[in-house]
Amino acid sequence: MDCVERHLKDLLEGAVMAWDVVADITVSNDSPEAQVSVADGAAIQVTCEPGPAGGWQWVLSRLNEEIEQPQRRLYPSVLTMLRALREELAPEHRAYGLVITSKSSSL
Amino acid sequence: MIPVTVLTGFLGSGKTTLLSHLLRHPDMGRTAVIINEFGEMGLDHELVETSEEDFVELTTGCLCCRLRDDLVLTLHDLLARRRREEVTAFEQIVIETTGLADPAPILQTLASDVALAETLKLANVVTTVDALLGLETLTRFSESARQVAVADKLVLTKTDLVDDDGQRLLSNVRKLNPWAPLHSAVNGRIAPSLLMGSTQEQVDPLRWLGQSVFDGVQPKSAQQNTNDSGPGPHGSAIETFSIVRNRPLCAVTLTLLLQALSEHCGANLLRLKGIVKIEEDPEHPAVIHGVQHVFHPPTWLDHWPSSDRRSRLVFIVKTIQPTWVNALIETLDAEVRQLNNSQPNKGAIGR
Repeated sequence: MDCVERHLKDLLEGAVMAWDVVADITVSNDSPEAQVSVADGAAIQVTCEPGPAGGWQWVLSRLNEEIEQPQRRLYPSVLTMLRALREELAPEHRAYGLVITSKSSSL
Repeated sequence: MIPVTVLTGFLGSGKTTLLSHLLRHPDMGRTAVIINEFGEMGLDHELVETSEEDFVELTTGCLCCRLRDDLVLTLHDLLARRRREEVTAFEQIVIETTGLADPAPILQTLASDVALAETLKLANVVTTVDALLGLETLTRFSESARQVAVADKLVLTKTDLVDDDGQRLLSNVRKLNPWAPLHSAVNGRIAPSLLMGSTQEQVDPLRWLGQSVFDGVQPKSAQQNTNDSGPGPHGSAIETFSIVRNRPLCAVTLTLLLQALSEHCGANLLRLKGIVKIEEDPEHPAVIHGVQHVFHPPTWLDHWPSSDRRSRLVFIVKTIQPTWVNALIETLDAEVRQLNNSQPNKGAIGR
């Protein structure tokens, strides 16, 4: 999880830029935890924490204004976490699927 | 007079693939190749196979922008070495431009240097057009339109990857260039005689500057083309960077990385190419290249092409940060390794 902690800020800052979203990223100094705040005031907490199987898992946490409690959602990998974060912050961003052509290049 | 062919085409449109195939043909003997790579770290020159009689020179930076003098110097140097018999007495020269090059200034350079014009003659401008993505790139990137417009020969590539008849693409291509012969080449396979063949009439390098065929394409001023301090004519949004990595990548990491880049970058990933050291098979590097979200399956080399055995990824992108790509690689690889450690039978590689 040290690796995640080391790269969390770059991971989130680069992602929001790729989605063309203006956001303020604040990263904790002593844990793999960050807050992504966007212009409308919404904030999402991104945390990487020990998982049940011994590895780690990702958590997106956002205040549910109806119940005034944070709502936590768990993701097993950085890919699924980023996908969920993008759907939250940039739902209009067009997501492409990877296409592998049927033939190798000659290179 | 030594004929010069300028091979151009947008990023990922198949120039290097085409060149590699051409150079293997017996008719292409004694060819000097100048490859211009727009990136911190060029790879094309390592990926082009040549015969004993061919050889490759490399220039960096973009020929159409700040380093046109570099092309002139390279050509003068080549000719001087040929006179001194330090290199093969090449009979033709091929200049492969970067995918972002506006070829018109290059043609202008070739014609405007008096000393070069005494020895060299521009034979052909060959432009590759990606049948799969060409329609979008023609619409979005003025460089692509200029490359098509200036061509003497057009080569439609990757036609095996499209289902439709490509009429919209062909219509757009023909609006830009109604007269150049149009060929198709799958995986670069085409007879050299169709492209290099008999020397064509001299191309006037100025004929396209300010031409009405560039309707909808912003012309570039001379100041932009030569300005060293201001933003380049490609626009500040297009950037290139490379990532070098000593530690091998797990095979699964590579797949996940391509998936993530496709999903989050899409059309802003103009080009990615690289040589990757794979954890499960470090002696056989994987060559990857893709355009936007479309990738070829990795090609596995029999051995490393040079003593440099590091993974090297070259990105040409819009609004994508190198720090993000690096963080993505490190995080993905850490996750995959963690998973492999907990499930040791996973992660086998298939070739």
